[in-house]
Amino acid sequence: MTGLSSHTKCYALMVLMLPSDSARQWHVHELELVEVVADQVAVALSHAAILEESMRARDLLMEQNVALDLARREAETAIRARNDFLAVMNHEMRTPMHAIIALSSLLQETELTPEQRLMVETILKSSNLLATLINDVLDLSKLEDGSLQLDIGTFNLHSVFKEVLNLIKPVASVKKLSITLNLAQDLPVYAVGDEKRLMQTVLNVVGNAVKFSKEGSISIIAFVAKSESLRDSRAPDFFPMPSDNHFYLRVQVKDSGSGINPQEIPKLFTKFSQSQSSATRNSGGNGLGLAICKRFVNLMEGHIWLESDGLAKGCTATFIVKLGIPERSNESKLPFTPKVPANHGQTNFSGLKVLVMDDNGVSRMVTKGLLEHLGCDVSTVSSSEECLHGVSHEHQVVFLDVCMPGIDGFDLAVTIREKFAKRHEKPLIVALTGNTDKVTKENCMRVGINGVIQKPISVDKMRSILSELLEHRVLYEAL
Amino acid sequence: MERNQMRRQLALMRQSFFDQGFLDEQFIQLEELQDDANPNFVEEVVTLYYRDSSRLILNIDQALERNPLDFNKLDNYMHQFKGSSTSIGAKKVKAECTQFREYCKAGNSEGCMRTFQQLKKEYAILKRKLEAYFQQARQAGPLETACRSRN
Repeated sequence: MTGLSSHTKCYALMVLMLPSDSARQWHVHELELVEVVADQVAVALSHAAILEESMRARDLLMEQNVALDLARREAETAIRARNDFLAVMNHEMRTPMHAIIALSSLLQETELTPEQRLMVETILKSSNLLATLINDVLDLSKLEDGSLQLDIGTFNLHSVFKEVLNLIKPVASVKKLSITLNLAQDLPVYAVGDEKRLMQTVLNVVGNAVKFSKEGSISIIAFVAKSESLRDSRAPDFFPMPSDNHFYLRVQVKDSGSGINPQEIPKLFTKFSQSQSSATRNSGGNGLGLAICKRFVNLMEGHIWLESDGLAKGCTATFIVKLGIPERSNESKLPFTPKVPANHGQTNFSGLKVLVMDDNGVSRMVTKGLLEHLGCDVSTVSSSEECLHGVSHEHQVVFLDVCMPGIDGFDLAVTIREKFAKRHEKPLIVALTGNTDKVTKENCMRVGINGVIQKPISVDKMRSILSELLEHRVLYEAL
Repeated sequence: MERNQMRRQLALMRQSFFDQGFLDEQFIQLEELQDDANPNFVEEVVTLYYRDSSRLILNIDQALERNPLDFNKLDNYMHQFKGSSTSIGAKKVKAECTQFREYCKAGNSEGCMRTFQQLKKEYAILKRKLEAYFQQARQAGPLETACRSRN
């Protein structure tokens, strides 16, 4: 009896029964031969088994390849579908967006009340921000492969925060949430960076705070981060290096809302992550808001993080970004702030008694209309005799048109002065002139004229002029 | 709605005045002065302008017939004319006034007469346009939103 086996596996058993009384006598070498044959058969059997297994493996591989191929094609289809979806959604979203922006701009060009104008401006600003957001959000590939570039420019940093506040105030007041903005004293007014994306980030973070607070208050603090505070235990791999022409802006938004489970925090910045808890801090349903913010903040060489003591215990969102300090020469390119800002001081001059002297009928009517529009009680005269006759101590301001040939406005002013020399209440005398030169100005000052204004005058200009005049009793604008 | 169409046309007409240089920013200032207390301010000022200046034109015409020309007097008249035109924002008319005064200063009779003809032409064109504009404005009806409430 011999077992046909190869290695350890037994394939078959060959039994040779040799009766003791058989006619054939088996010799030892014959038995050995049988053993060899048996071994060979075992080997053959094992080979066959291996072949069978390899064929099975090959079939399996082929099946797997087919399956993988199918999966790859499905994935490709899915990506194509996603890109098509994005392209279509892009277009779908941009079309109405474009309509809103275009029509709002057109609306601005029409005649509107101040309240309406303010509303239209807010619509336009919000639409522009939304349009930028759509461009960024739907341009996932750019954000993915990091090829998004910041639009660097000089901008008013303080206005960014005020804008965000203006945009979010309506929503917050509906929810009866109070928002406070605290800009540090040393926070530069102008900075160099990507204004739109910084605003988006602030808006996103503040928007989240508003969204997830049912009541209470939200505080926004912005200040220049000093070296010690830059290194944060929560951002151990962040090594900010302040320099001469850069500073680090640190913004903290604290709310008393629904809070976050601290374990959920890392996931919040991952796009499309679905949070298990019902209150997810990702803005909108697509979970992109904070992910985008993180991208922007990273591009600005900064860091963003959230802290919360737990659910229902509020949340503090903090981010630090690097901004440039504009050079002194840049300040001349910044929008010029007028010496006397519009709506400065008094804006209602109702009852202010004024006298206008102008020999030109049309010009007189226009000046009268202007002053009446501002609430003044206006009397008009068309000659110096009428003026001297009509002017009284009740008049607080006398407007003289001094570009009248043949009538010496200066002499008139002198005469008016003399008339009221002994009185306590004297009218302020203002010269309106189309000719502007130093000589005219000096002559006016010499005869005691309180102010000189160059025509033509706009409503806003007249308003600020009257304001300054009544406050300081004198006005000599740069002619 | 027909009214909306009229208002649109009106807005286009108005814009063309600025685009083609007939009116300048001063006209807008006048519009800003129109409010509930003065709903027809602009039309009133413009009407006054045409009334006043027609008298001036007559005077200048007569003065230009004299020989020799009294440039001083002409300059005085033109100063008035220019002042009024500036007050309503009549851009082209104002430019002709300035030109006329230059010729007066230079004592150029021919220049004055030529410029005055041009001035009268611009004056008439603007008058026609503004009359049409105000007429259409009246037909389109009062725009509640166009008036700013009194400060």
